[in-house]
Order: sequence, then C-alpha cells, then structure tokens
Amino acid sequence: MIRYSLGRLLGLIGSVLIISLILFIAVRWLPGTPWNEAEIPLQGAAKENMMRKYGLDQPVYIQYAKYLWNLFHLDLGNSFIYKTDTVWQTIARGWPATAKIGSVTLLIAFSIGIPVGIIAALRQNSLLDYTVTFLATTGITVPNFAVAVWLVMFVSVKMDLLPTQGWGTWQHMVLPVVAYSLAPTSLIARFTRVSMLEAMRSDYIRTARAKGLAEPVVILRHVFKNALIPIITLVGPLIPNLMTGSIFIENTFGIPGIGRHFVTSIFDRDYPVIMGVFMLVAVLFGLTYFISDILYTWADPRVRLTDRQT
Amino acid sequence: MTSLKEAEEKGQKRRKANFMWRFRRNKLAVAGSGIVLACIFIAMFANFLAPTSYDVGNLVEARQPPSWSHVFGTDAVGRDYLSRMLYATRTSIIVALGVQVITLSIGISLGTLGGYLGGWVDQIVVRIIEIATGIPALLIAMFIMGLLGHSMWNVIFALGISGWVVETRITRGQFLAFKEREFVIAAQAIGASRFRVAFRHIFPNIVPILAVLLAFQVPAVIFNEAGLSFLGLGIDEPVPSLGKMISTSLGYVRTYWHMGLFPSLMIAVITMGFTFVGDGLRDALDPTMNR
Repeated sequence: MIRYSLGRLLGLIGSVLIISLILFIAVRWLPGTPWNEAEIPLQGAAKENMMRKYGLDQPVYIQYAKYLWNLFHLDLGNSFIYKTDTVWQTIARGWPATAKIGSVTLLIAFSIGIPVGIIAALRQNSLLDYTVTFLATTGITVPNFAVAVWLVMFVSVKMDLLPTQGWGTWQHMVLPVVAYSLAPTSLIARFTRVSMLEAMRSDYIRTARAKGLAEPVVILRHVFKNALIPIITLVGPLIPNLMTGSIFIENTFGIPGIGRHFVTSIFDRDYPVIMGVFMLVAVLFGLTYFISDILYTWADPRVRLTDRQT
Repeated sequence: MTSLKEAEEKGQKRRKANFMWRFRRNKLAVAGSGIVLACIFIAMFANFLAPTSYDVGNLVEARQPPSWSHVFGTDAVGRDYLSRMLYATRTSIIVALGVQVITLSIGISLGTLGGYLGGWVDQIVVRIIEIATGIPALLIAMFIMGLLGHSMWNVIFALGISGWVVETRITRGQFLAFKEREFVIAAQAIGASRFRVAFRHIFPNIVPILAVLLAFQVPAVIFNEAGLSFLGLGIDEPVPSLGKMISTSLGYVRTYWHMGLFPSLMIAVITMGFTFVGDGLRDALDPTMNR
C-alpha cells in the first residue's frame, strides 16, 4: 500500500512536470506579447528592455529551468498585468469567492443528490422514480449557463427577488449556487440510484433479508454502504472541478472568483498567471484522483491497487 | 436442418428485432430520436428553412420582440433571430460531428494500440491518458483557442484535440476485456494477423459501446462549443452560435427577454434529445443496466 502510494505520487509529480513543460512551451507559442502592442507599439530598444526585465529575452529552455527552480521553491512568479501581485496573491484574491460557491454547491449536491437517489431506487419503476430520472437527466444535460439565464430572467427580472449580478451578500450567492449545483446534484442522484439498484440485486442482500434483518438496516447498512463505493470514484473529480469554479457561472453572475483568470490571463498573455492557474488545476486533479483511488481500496477491500488500470 | 449460417443469420435478426423493440418501448428515446433527426434536418437545410440569411441585418428593426414578421424577434443589429438560431443549430451540429471524427480517430487508435498490444506500448498509452486527464478538456480547448484564433474549424480542432480521453479509455478497456475471449484466441490460433484480429474480430464488438458513447459525447461537445463561444473564445461574428447568442443576451436581460430565452431553450432541447437517445441505446443494448 505504502509502496503503491509512493509510486503513484512519483508518477503524479512526473505528470505534473510534463504538463508544466507542455504548458510552458505552449504559453510561449501564444501569438502576441504581454504588452498591449496593438495600441501602444513598443519601439526596438524599449521592447528589448521590457523583454529583458521579464526574462523573456533568454532562450525558452533557460526560462523553463528558472521557472522550475522557482516552482520548486513554491514561487509562481509575479503577474505581468497586476504588477504588484505575485501569482499566489492573484489566486488568493479570487479563491474565497470560488471556494464559497464551490463548497456550498458540493454540500447541496450531496445532501440532496444522495437521498433522492436512494428514494428513487427504493421505489424503482414508480412514477416518482421516472420523475427523478427524467429531472436528473435534464439537470445533467442542460448547460448551467442556460439555467443561469432562465434564473436571472424569472427570479431576478420578472419576480425581482434576487440581484441579477454581483457579489457580497448571501442574496448574491443563491442563483449562482442553484444554477451551479443542478448538474452535480443530478449526477449524484442518478449515480446513487443506479449503484443502489445494483447493490440491491446482489446475493448478500438476499442473505441479509433471509436472516430476518429489519428493512432499514438492510437498506442502510448493507445496500447503501456497498452502493457508496462507486460513488466515491464519481465524486473524486467533482471536487476539484467545483473548487476551481465554473467559468460560466462566474462570468454570468459577475463573481470575482478564480474562474475568470483562466480566460483573462490567456487574453492578457499574462504568462505567469496562465501557468499558475493551470498548474494549480493539474495538481488538484492529480491529488484527487490519487486520494479517491486510496479511498476506494479502503471502502472495498477486494480492490487491490497493484495493477494500474486507468 | 438449418445450416449454421442460416441459424446465425436468424439469431442476428432476432437480436436486432429485440434491440429495436426495447428501444421503441422507451418513449424518451423515441422523442429524443425525433429531436436529433430534426436537428440534423435543420443543420442540412438551414439555408432553405431560414427566412433570411444569418448576416442580414436591418438596424431599423433592431431588438424587436417576437412578431409575425420575425417569429423569434430580432437581435441588437436587427437580424432575424429565428434565422440566426437555425444557422446556430447548424454550427452546433457541424462542430459536434467534426469533433467526434477527431476524438474517435485518436481514441480508437490509441485505445487499440494500448489495449490490444499491451506491454510497453500500453504503458505509454496509460501515461498519455494520465497526463491528458491532468487538466480539464475545456481548459485545454480554451488555451488552444487562444493560440489559434477564433473560427469554427479551430473550435472543432481545439475540442477534438482536447477531448479524446474517454474514447481512448473505453476502447482500451474493451480491448483488454475482449483480448482473452475464446473467439479471439481461436482467430489467433488459425493464424490471423494482429491487424485482422484487432479490427475484424474484436472491433465490431466495441462498435455498439462507442455508439452509445457518441450519443453522450455529442451533447457534451455542443455544451463545450456553446461554452467557448459564451466566453468569447469560440466562433467569431457573423457566424452564429447558440452560446454566443446567450452570452450577448445577458446584457439585455432586463429589456429583451426573447434574446436569452430562445437560444437557451434551443440548446437545452438539443442536448436533451441526444442524451435521451444515448440512454435509450444503452438500455436497449444492455437491458440489465439501470432498470
């Protein structure tokens, strides 16, 4: 187990390094420079000075080596656009809003999705079950920005209950969270339902019933506990996704989160910020896959993590 | 006495009939097929169906609510909204199918290589998958759009290049599962070449699963294309895209409700149609799943 974990961690570091190399080269490939040369063209010497100041005059491999060295010291560099900010500060400024929306969404997704999935599975093929399945499918497929537009139209504009945009009070959080949580809630509900049904069909459930256990005990202790295992694998990637925020939701509701940096840093050619946010996502995703694999063995002792299968 | 061949043909027919019966019993799947067919019809004949071309604007008629002359109203520069939406549907469908061509080609080749050949080739494939999983596909696509500039073909390229992980994974997994089956070993035993075993014997068994995957990937791609355009990283004017129409409408949400409502409903209907078809296909292929 420990040996496996170490191997996976090393592999993770390797992957992140390769991603950083690909990203670094790709970032230098982006047409244009970090300076607004369309409106303020830079003359020869001035441009050379600027390039030198930001270390862009050196060959790419030296720039990359320097970047790695700084990365090793957890230094992501300074933003080219917000000149007084380190990349960490840029991230730290957006993160609270994103994390707030993300964690509330996650909470809602679980506390609604799992019970709804269980109830639907217990009443399989009833009208309730069909309704839940239909709504869940709808919730997964309809893009969250479309839902956001409908919410703004009806709740904010028509009924004038909540603000259309902005950030600060709890009222500002309601619509983004509703729009954002619809898909993960539906996903969890659907997945819970399917894995509950799967577990309910197994032999050990028949055994549990046969030995006269009370129905609630069978459902909670035997069915649900086993149904939980596949849910873990689903939830893993959901967490970094929600915590790095939906760019669409933040864009629609004008939330000052981290999501917009993914777009603006590319538009601005803000090399260090691009690298910073993308690397952060890569590390977060890698770690969650790793942790959910470990959790998986813990929840299901039959699973052995020796043979690596993606 | 029926010959072996006849019996086999009979069996195939029966399986097909069974499949069709199960698919047709699923009302949502049938409704979804209707939507999908309608979308493809719109995509093919948008230029005949649309009252005007997508780029003809009349500023005098700008921002009109729906009326008899403009059923869905007009946009900020007076272009007929219905026409824009029909052409935007065409954009969505072309992008969705174009992306599938790329993702399936990459996915099937990589997945077959890894799953069937195994060994060090598989190690490399697994590594590539791991690296590609490191960053969400949409972010990679955004990055590529920044690199290439905005056009429909670039959107197809960006979403295709970033979105092949699921296809690869499933093809590889299927090859791993089928590789050890008796009929494969039998084919190898009579000396069929590796290529022949992979594509004549194993691959046909994977096609149904890939078809289901396709039905689910199409709405995902439509979502992502709309998303890219929504962020201003997608398709440039004057070519219409549902995502762009939605994002533009946000600026007018207090005054011109029709500009946001129609495209967002349209994209919801399209993505749901494809998903219902996918659900129906999956359930009909494997009746033990889900129900």
